[in-house]
Amino acid sequence: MAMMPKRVKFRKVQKGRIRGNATRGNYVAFGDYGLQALEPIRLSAEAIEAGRMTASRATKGGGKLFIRVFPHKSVTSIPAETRMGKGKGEVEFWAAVIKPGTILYELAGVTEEQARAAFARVAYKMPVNCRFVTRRPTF
Amino acid sequence: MDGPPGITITSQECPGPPRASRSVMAEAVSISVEPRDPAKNKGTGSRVSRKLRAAGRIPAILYGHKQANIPLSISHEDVWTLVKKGNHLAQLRIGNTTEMALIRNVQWDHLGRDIIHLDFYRVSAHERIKTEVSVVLHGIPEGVAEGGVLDQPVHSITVSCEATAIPASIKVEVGHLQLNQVLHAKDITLPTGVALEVDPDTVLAHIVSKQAVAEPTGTEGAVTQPEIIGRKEKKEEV
Repeated sequence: MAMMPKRVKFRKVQKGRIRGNATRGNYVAFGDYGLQALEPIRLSAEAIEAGRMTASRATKGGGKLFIRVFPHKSVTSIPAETRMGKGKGEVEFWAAVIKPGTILYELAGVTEEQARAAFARVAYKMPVNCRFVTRRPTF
Repeated sequence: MDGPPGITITSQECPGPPRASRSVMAEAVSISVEPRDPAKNKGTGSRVSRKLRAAGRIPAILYGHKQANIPLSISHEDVWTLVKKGNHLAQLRIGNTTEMALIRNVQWDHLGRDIIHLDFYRVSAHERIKTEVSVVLHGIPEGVAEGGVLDQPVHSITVSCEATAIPASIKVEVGHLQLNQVLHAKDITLPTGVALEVDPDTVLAHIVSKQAVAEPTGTEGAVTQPEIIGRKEKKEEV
């Protein structure tokens, strides 16, 4: 089932704008390989779940998958052919706000070839351009 | 020991062959650096740094040992030579003088493609310092053949050693690890003169059971709403 917060202070929030680049969550922190978003987008919980399932199936349950993003933001919509006004629409889905550079998923315990193959499939499911990344050197 | 949900990991002492760990000492790379022009805003600031990057140079700073900070610039190629070799130590040639320095911090751009700034910390050759060294696991564990997954919770550890004896990485052999076995920091053999500066019980590697792939269930699509914090439930009227 798609992810969503368990508790929120406000059910509906303002739309906002995705500005700038990722200054956090933009490097491989837990696994060995990662999938990095190159464009800003509101990534729906369904898309995150689709990527998770694709990665799990591609690695056949092997390795360890880390999901680095969470859909904290609710997105509302009003039904078609509705007159203007009458307040904000109902929550349609939950989304994660993604800035360029954000790491979406990480994989550990698999070879680079396996990780590349798995993330190529996941990237196909994603609504943004993504790239495969590895850990940065330690200093 | 607690593991991922649904998986019980029993902490065991690792029997079998001694933990072979190898490390290669990184030699200091000699690079030529230029002090920044002090006439332009003391050579510092984002505007100066941006212009340097546009000219193919990377801004850096040298500090430490209670001496004056020196803003520097390094050629792009020299920085990548340093980074690709995994060197912690560098011999900086500034005009006629040479200073030995440790790479203290590396700043990357948002995509992690380019280095945008470097911090160098002055060190003496035989000064004892603390630094982060990456842990590289070698071999395919026996537990993986039994259906386990190799998990590496920690990718680098803090060690203390002489500045000229910093290992480029610590290579740890994990081929003997069985399912549910754990390799701690205290189990590895460090090179002479290198001491561990982290908790000896830090888990470097363990073999966990494979997680079952969660298939979509029939409840998918059922819309549930999160609980609203602070909202009192309406009392039903009698």
